[in-house]
Amino acid sequence: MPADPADRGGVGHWLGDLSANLLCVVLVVLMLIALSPLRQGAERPEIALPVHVDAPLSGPDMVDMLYARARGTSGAALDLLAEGVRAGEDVAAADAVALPVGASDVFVFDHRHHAALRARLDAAGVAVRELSVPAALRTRDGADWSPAFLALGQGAPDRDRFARALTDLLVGGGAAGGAMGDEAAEADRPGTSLIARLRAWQTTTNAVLGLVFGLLIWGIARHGRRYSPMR
Amino acid sequence: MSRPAASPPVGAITADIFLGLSAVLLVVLALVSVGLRDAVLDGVARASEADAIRLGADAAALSADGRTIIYADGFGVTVLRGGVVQARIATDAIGTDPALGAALAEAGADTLAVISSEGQEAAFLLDPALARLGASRLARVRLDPRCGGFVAAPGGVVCNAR
Repeated sequence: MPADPADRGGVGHWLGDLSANLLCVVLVVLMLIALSPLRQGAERPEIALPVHVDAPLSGPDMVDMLYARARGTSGAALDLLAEGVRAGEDVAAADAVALPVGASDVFVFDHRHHAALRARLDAAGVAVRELSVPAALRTRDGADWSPAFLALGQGAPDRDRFARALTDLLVGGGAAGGAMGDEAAEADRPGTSLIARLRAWQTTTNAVLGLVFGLLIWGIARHGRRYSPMR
Repeated sequence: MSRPAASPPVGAITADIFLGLSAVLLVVLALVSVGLRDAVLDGVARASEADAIRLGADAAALSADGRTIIYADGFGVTVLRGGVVQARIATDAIGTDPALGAALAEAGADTLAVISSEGQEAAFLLDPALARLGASRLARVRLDPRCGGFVAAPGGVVCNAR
């Protein structure tokens, strides 16, 4: 196709290829946006979140709740997870889970199904104690009980020793400490989505993109205008 | 038929066209980039800094009618009254900082704890701290992780999904 000898070995070829690729990338990104479900359903649903009035839990209350939960002796414990509500071993939807009778200890990992579960518990007249599970007692991704906490229930023969071990776990795991993990470590975990990994590498990605664009602009400024029809 | 000597090569012309088109599309992309962020990051990553700021501002607005709001988020707890911050206490200091007691001493019965989905650590520490301060009842609302902002509603709050 390029019959012009002046073009041979010049920058025209790779400049053309490069810009064609750039156009393709931009087109793909635009298509992804157009196809994404959120762009189609642009309406923002409203979520009603009712107020619940409880007595604040005291330290000893919390130890009691966690002791019963770790030993698995509390038949009335519910774990409020991101994917649903766990009663015993089974995870079910908040509107389908079998409710305990009389009183229940709710361990909150995620707020997603909280309103639905509380509405059912209140309607059934169940007395509820709610405990927000701290990071030190969770797995690294924060989705469930940490093995260390569950082992505490098997290892501690009485409540006092459990309380001491629990304190160690809470202080050692710390609010801002290890269990939460930093963003890079989170991105290294298998199963983390590509988007999250890209986000963790945002700075590097930006730098590479900037470099590519800079080179492209430099190339055009240096060579492109030489072939301008104006000359 | 001979072409003029100064005729530009085909590659450079196509490059100009492609780059021009890309530039136009990039402008379009920039215009919809807010939508892009929402679409790509929703449900994947944690709530962004901007969302956290918006939720904090909504908590302050909730306190504008005079009631006391205890807002728990990833930082710790913030006590708000009349839209003004009374105390801001980091998660680590919730159990020990006397500012919490001081800020709540003037709080009436109409105190509401708003717990963001990032604020569970703070909520865990807030319970025994309030129990020690002698609170016997605490009204509490837990924000859904999809909340991008919220306003007061009868019996609670209503939040707009992100």
